[in-house]
Amino acid sequence: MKSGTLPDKEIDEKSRSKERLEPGYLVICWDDPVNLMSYVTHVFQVVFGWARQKAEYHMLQVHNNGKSVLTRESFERAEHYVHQLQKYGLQATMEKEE
Amino acid sequence: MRLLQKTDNKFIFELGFDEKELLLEVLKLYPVLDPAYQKLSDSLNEEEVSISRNILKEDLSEHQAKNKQMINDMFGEGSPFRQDMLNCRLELGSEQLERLLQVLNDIRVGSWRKLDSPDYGELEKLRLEKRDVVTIVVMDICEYFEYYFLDAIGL
Repeated sequence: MKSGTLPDKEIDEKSRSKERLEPGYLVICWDDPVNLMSYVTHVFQVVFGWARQKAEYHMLQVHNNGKSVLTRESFERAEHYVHQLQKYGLQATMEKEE
Repeated sequence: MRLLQKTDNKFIFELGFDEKELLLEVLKLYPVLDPAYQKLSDSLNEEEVSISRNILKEDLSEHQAKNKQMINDMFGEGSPFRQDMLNCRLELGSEQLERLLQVLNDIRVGSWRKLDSPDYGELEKLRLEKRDVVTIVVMDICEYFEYYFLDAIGL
């Protein structure tokens, strides 16, 4: 091994850590036939602190388009929001932005 | 059921005795939603999400345990119900109302999962064919109370 070069694994971990800190993860809420529209609006207001109008806009996107991208965050923050949404019984996932 | 009074931090509802019994019975079912069913991601690989998924499962289980304790405390001694000859009154703080909404929705979504997550049409078909009647009625009862609680907070 030449001095000054990092082992592949270390490079992988560093680049992955850096990647995780960047806002490249999408928080997506998916439509289902069970959560009430007004409930979904309420959850968006509570979890993201959004005004009613913005929360309703995203709720309608979920209802009409099957999903809505709610926010783009770092890995940890996206994970946090998905956990919060799921605590309320919503179908939410985090996906890496293409 | 109707909202009698609302202040910044308090809600007072009037319920019939049947409604009170229905609410108490349905709350006994909590929790229904299986914490393991939620997935974290469709596209991220297993290595990336395995730790997060376990944390999520533990987090949801703890959350349900806290809510269960809150329900037990709330409807045990010092019940929020006051009643006279004709009706009951249910007095809730904002935090209690918020928790009750979550609990009712857990029961509703968990019941839906028990039915194998039917879509709109399949759910109506089950209803018409009178299959899984108890589970569907539980969902309907939760929906009934959720509507009133959401209406009370202006939704």
